[in-house]
Amino acid sequence: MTTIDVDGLAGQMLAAALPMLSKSAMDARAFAEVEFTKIALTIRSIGEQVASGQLTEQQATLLLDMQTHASKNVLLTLEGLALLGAEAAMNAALGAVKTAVNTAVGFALIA
Amino acid sequence: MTEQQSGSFWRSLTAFLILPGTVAFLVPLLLKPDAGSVHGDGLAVLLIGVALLLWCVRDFHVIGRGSLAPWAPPKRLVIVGLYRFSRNPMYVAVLVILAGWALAFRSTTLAIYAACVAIAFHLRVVLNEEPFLARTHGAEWTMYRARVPRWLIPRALLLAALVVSVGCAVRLIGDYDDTLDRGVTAVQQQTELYLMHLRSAPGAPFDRAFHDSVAASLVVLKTRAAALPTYAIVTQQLGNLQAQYSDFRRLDSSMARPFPAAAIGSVESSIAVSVESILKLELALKRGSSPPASTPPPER
Repeated sequence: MTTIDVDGLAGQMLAAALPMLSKSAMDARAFAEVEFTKIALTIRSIGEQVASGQLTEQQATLLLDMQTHASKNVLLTLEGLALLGAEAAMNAALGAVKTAVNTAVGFALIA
Repeated sequence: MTEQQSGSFWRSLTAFLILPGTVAFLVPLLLKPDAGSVHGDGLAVLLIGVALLLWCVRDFHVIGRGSLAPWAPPKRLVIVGLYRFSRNPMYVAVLVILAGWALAFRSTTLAIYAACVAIAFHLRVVLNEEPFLARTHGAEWTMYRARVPRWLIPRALLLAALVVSVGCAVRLIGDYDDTLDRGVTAVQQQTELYLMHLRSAPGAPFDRAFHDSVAASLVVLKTRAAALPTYAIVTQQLGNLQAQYSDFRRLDSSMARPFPAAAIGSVESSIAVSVESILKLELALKRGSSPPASTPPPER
């Protein structure tokens, strides 16, 4: 069995994991920008409806509460996407380890 | 079997039942949770530990002519079998068994117990057993100690950890669920039809049947999400969607007719953002396939 180069292995793991994290972050950012813009536009519209007398204060409160729940759902999706990004990064890093270990032992120890 | 051999065998058996029997089986059985399923991966680890332990006990009895009990130690230094890789494979085997218990029941209590036992084993080996072996076996012990590590060969341990890690893909959140995807989409479709009707006929009265139908669908979907493994995020999202529909119900029932078009737009937008958030995550849970981009916001 050849010696496992710890520094080289760490570098391979990092190289495999970073693109996954980067891709996940870009995807989450694009999603958040679109959805938060929609929420901001709706909140502005609610304010205009109150000002023009189309909505009572109580009705506006209900509509704003709906926006709050919508914002929470956007944030929860971001949390989920972050978990998926971390998961993909970890699996990519472990995939790099698989290659390194199989090379070190000289046969396909890990299928 | 001579009388001496028979006595030695019974001493070994008694010691096995009293010592590992108590530490590795009786106490975990008392500490294990009463409810909850037993996981097969933990049982597999536990059985590996039992096999390692029995191997060590056999070597102690056959090669060392003694037992694992302090009152009947081996007469010869045992350096065969698993003792070629670790000076204390019996303790390692017991810790593997305890790890198996903790894994089988996903129990923090059992994991803490295993950690406490590991510390106790280490202290006993360092403070008591190694000085005794040095006194009893002299040069033979010194040579053996120089050749074999106290616990496990670090490289073998590292490799084993890597093999276990790489063998199991990490899963931090549940898988895509087609029923939830379709269910949430159906609720949104039902809502769009209702809002389109309100737009075209702003004087249409409050429709209790629509709100009851959506509420019932969301209860079913949330119950399903709560039952799926590692689905807490989607379950919370469905709870937020329920709260939104509850607000919409109150708004719809209290709003004078004709229903203002701008208010319909605000309702539609907030529900659409929530549904898109849920579906975005659901599609991402397919893992590997590219989820579609969000619908762009309307022109300002």
